[in-house]
Amino acid sequence: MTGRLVVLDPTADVPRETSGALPRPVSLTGLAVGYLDNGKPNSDRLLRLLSARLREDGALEAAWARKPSIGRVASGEMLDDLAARCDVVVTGVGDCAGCCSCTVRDAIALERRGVPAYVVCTSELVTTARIAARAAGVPDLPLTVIDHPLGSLTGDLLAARAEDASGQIRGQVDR
Amino acid sequence: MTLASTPYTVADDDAAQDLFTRNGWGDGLPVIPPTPERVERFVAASGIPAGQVIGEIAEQGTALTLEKIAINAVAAGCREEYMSVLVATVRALTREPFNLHSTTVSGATAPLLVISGPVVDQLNVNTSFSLFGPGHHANATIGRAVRLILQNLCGGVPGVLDKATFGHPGKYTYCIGESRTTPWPPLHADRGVPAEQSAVTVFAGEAPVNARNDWASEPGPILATIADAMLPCHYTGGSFVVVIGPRHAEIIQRAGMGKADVRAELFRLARRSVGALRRAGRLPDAPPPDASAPGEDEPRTVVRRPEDILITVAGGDLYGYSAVVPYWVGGHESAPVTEALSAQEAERCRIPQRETP
Repeated sequence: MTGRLVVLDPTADVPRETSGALPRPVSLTGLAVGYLDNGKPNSDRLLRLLSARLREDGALEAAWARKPSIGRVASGEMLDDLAARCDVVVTGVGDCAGCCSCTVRDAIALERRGVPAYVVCTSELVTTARIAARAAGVPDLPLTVIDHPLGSLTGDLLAARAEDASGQIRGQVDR
Repeated sequence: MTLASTPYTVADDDAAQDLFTRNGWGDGLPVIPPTPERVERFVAASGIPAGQVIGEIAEQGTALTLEKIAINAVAAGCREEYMSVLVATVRALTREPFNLHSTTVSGATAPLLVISGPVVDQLNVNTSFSLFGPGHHANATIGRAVRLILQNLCGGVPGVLDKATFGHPGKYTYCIGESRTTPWPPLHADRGVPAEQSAVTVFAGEAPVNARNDWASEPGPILATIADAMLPCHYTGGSFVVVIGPRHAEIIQRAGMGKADVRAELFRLARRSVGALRRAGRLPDAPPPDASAPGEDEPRTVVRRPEDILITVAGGDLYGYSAVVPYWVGGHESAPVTEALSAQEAERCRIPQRETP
């Protein structure tokens, strides 16, 4: 049969312009590092452990912010404030579908303000993070991926996740 | 009319179904192929330009245009006369307090639509027997169109962005009408819309829970039964939709109670103690060493205030049942939203008599 039925794409098939992520610094030594906690259980603990490790490298702890709502993007004021005070920002932890896409968008919003942003997400949410990054126009945004799950961890397991994340952040070097 | 969506040319209807299945564009059921002719008819019926943005999702950076709503409405099997209701629904869903992004991609939740006012009669929306069940074109297809919109435009692709553990059956369609013979003012009148108008209320709900009380002839035991059905919820401070069955409504109204009285009484009754929640494993922290410590008797209410209980009347009138729809796990992170249809929009919801489904 000859092709005679035309159907329209029901999805948001808008071609988008993409850009690359900002270059990551060679070393965090002496840089003002901000932390944007997305509010998920254990995100605060993980980020605190991570910040302790980055301080060992000479990173300066510049700012902490915690989003009031895990399932929404950060406010413009919160992002402006972080961008004004920090050289780089670490945000996370994206360990669920709703929060992970928001965390990726927060990171990209920070990058658009000129601040390289490190997204910490869990292994089960990499696809979600990639979809969000592509939709936000930065398909190759580097991800810091720790093993899923996170929310129920304590003690050594949590410390191991932080160790893993700090190693990956040290390794994301562009300049 | 100029449509912006990418056209795909396929051999026939079967090939169109394959195209949707292969791309994950559907809910698993066959679709009506959204041909340009059909979509143009639906756009025209809405009275809105195809390219107009009806709503946006900040968390996904997406815009929902009238054209995309129309394509999904066609695919879901809607009639073109439903378009104004769908447009009002998308306006409601994309209002900031509803938090469409998070409620689409996680939790056992689907947006429950409660259609109220004269359009219920105009579009033959079911308000009666088997309220949440099948058999009615408007309920089935309007709710399904919302599902397709959520999947195709709002990221809710199961297993990809939608990581809900269980989901629930209302994710196929979750659309009810409010009874037009309710003893009280309509739901939308409680939510700021003039009573004589039509409206859509959206609510991120889990599956409905039945509250049966077929023996009482006074409001007291009936409201106690309804409050009891509200107890197994997340205690995260969301809202509840309480669908009072017509028999219950009649008994409650005959006793002189208004909706505010019902809300107050349900708020008073629907609570558990911290100790009871802890014993049920519903609180993350360990019990204190002395379980009789002060605080264990402290009540936790299922909602934060009586106004967070939305009362509507619907369902069959043969038995003494009501139903409650619990909020999703995010609780206070998604608020119900009521959106009025303008007079012009309501006027567009008219099905020619001979075609009445």
